[in-house]
Amino acid sequence: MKLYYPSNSLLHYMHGFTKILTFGLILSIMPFLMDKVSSLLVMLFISLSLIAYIRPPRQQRLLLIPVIIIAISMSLSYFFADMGGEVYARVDLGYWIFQISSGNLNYAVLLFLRTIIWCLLFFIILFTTNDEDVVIGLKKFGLPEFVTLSAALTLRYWSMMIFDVKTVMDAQYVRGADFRSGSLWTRTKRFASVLIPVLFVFLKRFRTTSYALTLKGVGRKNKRTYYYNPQLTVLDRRMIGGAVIVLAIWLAVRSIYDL
Amino acid sequence: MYGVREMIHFHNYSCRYAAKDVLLRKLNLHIREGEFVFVTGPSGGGKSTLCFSINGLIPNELQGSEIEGKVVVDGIEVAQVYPYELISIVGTVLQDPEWQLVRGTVKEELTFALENMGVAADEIDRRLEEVAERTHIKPLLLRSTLELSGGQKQRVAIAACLMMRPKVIVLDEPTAELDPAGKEMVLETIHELHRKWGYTIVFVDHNLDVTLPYADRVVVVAEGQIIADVPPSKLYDVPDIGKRLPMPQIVELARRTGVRIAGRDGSSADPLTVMELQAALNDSRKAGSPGRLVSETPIGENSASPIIELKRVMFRYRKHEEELTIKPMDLKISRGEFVAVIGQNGAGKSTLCKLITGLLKPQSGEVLIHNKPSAQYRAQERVRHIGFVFQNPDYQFVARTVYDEIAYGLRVQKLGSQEIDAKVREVSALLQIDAYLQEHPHFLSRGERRRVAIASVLAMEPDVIILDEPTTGLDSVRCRELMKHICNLWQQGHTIIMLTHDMRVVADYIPRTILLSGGQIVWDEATRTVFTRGAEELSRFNISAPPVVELTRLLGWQSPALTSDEFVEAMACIETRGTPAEASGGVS
Repeated sequence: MKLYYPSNSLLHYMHGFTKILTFGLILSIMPFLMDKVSSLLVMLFISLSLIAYIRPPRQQRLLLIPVIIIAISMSLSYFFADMGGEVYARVDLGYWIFQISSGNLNYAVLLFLRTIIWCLLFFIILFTTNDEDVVIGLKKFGLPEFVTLSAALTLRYWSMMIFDVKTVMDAQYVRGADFRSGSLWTRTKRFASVLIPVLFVFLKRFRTTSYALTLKGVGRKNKRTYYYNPQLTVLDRRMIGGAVIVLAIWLAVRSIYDL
Repeated sequence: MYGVREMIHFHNYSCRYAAKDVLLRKLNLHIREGEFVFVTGPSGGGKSTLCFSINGLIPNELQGSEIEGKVVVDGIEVAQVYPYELISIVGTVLQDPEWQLVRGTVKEELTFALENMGVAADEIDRRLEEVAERTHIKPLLLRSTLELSGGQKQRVAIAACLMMRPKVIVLDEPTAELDPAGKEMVLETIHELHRKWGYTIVFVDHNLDVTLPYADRVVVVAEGQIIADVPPSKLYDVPDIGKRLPMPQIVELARRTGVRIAGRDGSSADPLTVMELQAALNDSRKAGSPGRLVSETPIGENSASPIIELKRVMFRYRKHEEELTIKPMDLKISRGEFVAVIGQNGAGKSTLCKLITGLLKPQSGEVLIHNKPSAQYRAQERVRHIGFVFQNPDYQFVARTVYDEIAYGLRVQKLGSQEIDAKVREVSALLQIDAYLQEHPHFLSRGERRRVAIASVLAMEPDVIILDEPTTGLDSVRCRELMKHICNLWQQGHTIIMLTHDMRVVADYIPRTILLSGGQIVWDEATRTVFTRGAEELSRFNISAPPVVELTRLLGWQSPALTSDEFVEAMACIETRGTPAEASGGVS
């Protein structure tokens, strides 16, 4: 599945570097510094507004479902810890103690909101930036060539790798290995058995790619040309400046009002 | 067509891998500038090694390879430079259309190598314009490489080579994984590049029927040696070559009917195209019409109860998609049938099989197996009725030995060890893989891996065996061997459903053919009836009939001969009677 989709929002026109810096770094730091639910709710509202602004298609919007499931699952882990506060309910499960307390609730909600905000910010980058711009953006951070090439290859191949894993599972299913029935141990063994064909298939695929890269001049010592090399525009500079100002204001407000 | 300047020179060249497996032995080969050299031979004979020795992957990239002698390309000794130093002389197209493209869009793919070489952006622009024009891929430039068909991907791979302005293009089985439309697209592109722009072409392939007419020379490599290096029309004049390399159908028909034509040098030669053979037959006054050839049992008259039945089955991959992948479909397949499912990529063949095997659930309608809804079978029960062999056997293998691989499904069914042992030995003997029972399945040849995959399914004794493109990428000897095994299974009472693009296999072996297009059954009839349709009608669905069918159509026969044997028999009748007439035997 391709996450990027073309559209005409301002974010679509920005440089990959700008979006990685703004949403992947500057705005991503802010939820770390927010300890109050109300502050995170404001941040969530802003993130959702940005998502609404870029109008993702249905397929992209549906990705919010697994994100919410993951965020809830992670938050639930706080109910097996003691984060203090008033205890509302407590169940002793032997090794584990399930506890609903004001402290646990607070931490669970904070983690849930932070996770959702981070995912939304990264979705903004991935939905509005094509693979080439992501790589160019990373390159502008001064990352070495092999890192940006690896990122480009990952973006190119990940959907094909998922397809291969799924086909291997199908091939085992038609031989009677049902991944949806049997004891946990049986299912674990069946999933583990999938790794062998997956490994062999990938090794053969990667060998082809390795040959292809060599035959396309990867590894030459000469200076590389960047045929596609967009420059930062006024829009990019304003966006970066705006994000830095927002972060600075937030830090000031936080220290003054102890938010 | 080609000049006198030597472009590639193998001088006493030997190559071995991991200090033991000899891949090429004392090879001497000269290829001139502008030649189209078709390299063929049995699988594992050394064809790919020959390609990789030209582009420099051997010895520099393939670790463990050792060479003796030398290969010189355009005056440069290959072993003395890194492969990336050769890319502006030798362009390479690999077999796998997906994984040799390394960038997101077609334009990025085309510019990537030049960027790595540090070529200036305005020069890249110039070359992009030129190459897009030559290979007709301008409309694809901004498209994602993931969205392209197999043929388009290989065309992009060829275009990416041309960006480097190479003098030689080496293609290592570039059509092996493509459907007929894709194969045609690649061959047309290469033919035009050779004819119009004079590139030197080294083309490795198994499909003699299609490729032979385009080549200037055929080099046959077997067991690491060149066993023939001749013009295509003289290939089968080489003694014993037919034992290693079954004849393409046109040559076979010509030889069996005693037809020869004048070669380029005026000497006697084999015809290579349907038109050449037709003209020769007309000249020798052997042409005529034998009347109607006997048809197989008409489809639908099979009285056996259906083993698989689809009732108004519909399917789409995503609920919100408007287009149905499988449109409301009814289908019955009876016990003991051998059915070919054909159609271009995306027609719905694989989806149909996944619905039958239970990998997908129909959106509406019912799939019945032995008159019981498919959904009521658990995975372990279903395998006793339906076995599915994937196109790529590597997806299936989970065990370390062939024995364990065949036994895997039986162990999932919790059978006793004695019963498992008996079944493994029985199917391995049937498919002639009993010599490899202790080998690792991933390290066998492609044909052997396919047989292991079939054996692992067959061991579970399913009533129906579905095979997805089992002959893809096999050389013609191995293809015939495999089809012989599959026919054995059919004769033993198994129902066989085969998804295939190989029309010669369909015509030679399979009595019933289902054509899918746009998610629906267009034709479901006897194979002969399918091929009785006109060339135009077949080409609407990207079907290229086998040469013998084309030939009989050009000769004006009422119904086509499907196999070489049928053709020869009918020709014998025509010759005996002297005039076109109704004949007996295979003809009615």
